[in-house]
Amino acid sequence: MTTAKDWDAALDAWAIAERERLGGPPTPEEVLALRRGKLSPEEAERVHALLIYDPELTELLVEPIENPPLRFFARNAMQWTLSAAAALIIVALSTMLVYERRQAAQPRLVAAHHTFAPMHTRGEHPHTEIHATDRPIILTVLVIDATTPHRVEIVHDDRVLWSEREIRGTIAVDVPAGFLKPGDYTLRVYEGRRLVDAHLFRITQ
Amino acid sequence: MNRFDEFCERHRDRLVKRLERRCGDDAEDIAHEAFLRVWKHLDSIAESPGAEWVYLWITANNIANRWNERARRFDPLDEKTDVRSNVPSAEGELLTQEFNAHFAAAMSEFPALTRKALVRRRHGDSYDEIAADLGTTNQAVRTRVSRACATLAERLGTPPDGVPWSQLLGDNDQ
Repeated sequence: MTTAKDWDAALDAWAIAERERLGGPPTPEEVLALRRGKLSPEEAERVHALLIYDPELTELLVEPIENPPLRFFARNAMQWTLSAAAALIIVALSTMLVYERRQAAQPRLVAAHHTFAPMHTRGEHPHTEIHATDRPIILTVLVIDATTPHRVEIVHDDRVLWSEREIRGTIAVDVPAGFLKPGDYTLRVYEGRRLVDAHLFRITQ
Repeated sequence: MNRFDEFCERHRDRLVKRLERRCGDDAEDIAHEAFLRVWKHLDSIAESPGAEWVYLWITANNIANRWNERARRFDPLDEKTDVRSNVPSAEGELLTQEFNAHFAAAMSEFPALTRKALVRRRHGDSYDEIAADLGTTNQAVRTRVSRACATLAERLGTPPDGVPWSQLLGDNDQ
């Protein structure tokens, strides 16, 4: 009495024996030649049979004959786009940075240079007018006492736009063009919490 | 990425996945060996589209066959295995050999197309797939398989239930 296993095993054994009889696994060259129709009928029959009798190779009979695209490029098209965009931004920023550094290392013209001398008087001084251009301005604040730390602020509408502590002696503030819009500003000098000077200036168009 | 990396990248997933079915944990090693072997000849095959995979798969298949053969030869027996139950008796061995010989004799009498159809059925391919690959019709394949199984039944006795390739069931019939 035979079992299903015996029948399967008999057919498998026959296929293995047949493969050996036909000369073992086909070479890649034989398979490619078969697929291109370049084998003699007898050789084609032999290679075809070898591909059928080895189930692992049967796919080579029917698989489309073309190399798959490089998975890296195929699957990551979106990532490539993003990476390219990021690289472009980095290049642009780096170029700007280099340009800025070069510019910073060069002497440059300023639009205006104003010196605010201490008045040692309470209250605000008369307006100083500064014409706004596309160049920076330099505000020099004379602080006579070089031993006591002072604080300097630029204030607009009761809002502190810029401030610097621990100032001892005279300082020059390099204000980039466009930082101060047209309007009235106060440059205040404090000694501790005590307001020791206040200079009014107006930026005009 | 150099050319070898590109070559591996292009085929690795597919190759390893297919090898895993047969070789489990050895799949990566076998794939690596196949990549190295085919790489040496890549210049001569590069101009043929799709040839890379044909070379790779046949090479990997040969390596896998050798690995499996070696593993069968050298693997120590599992302690839990009852050795006696795995070793066929001399009489059983003789009966198997005799059955296989009769089976092979019957097979050798079938036309090539019929033999191929039977093997494809054994590996679970549908009548439509077999017909397409052998350049014939579904009905022609069924007829050939049917006749072959009748002959086998005549010579060896009716196949027991559970031999799907010996029954005229196709994908649409099951």
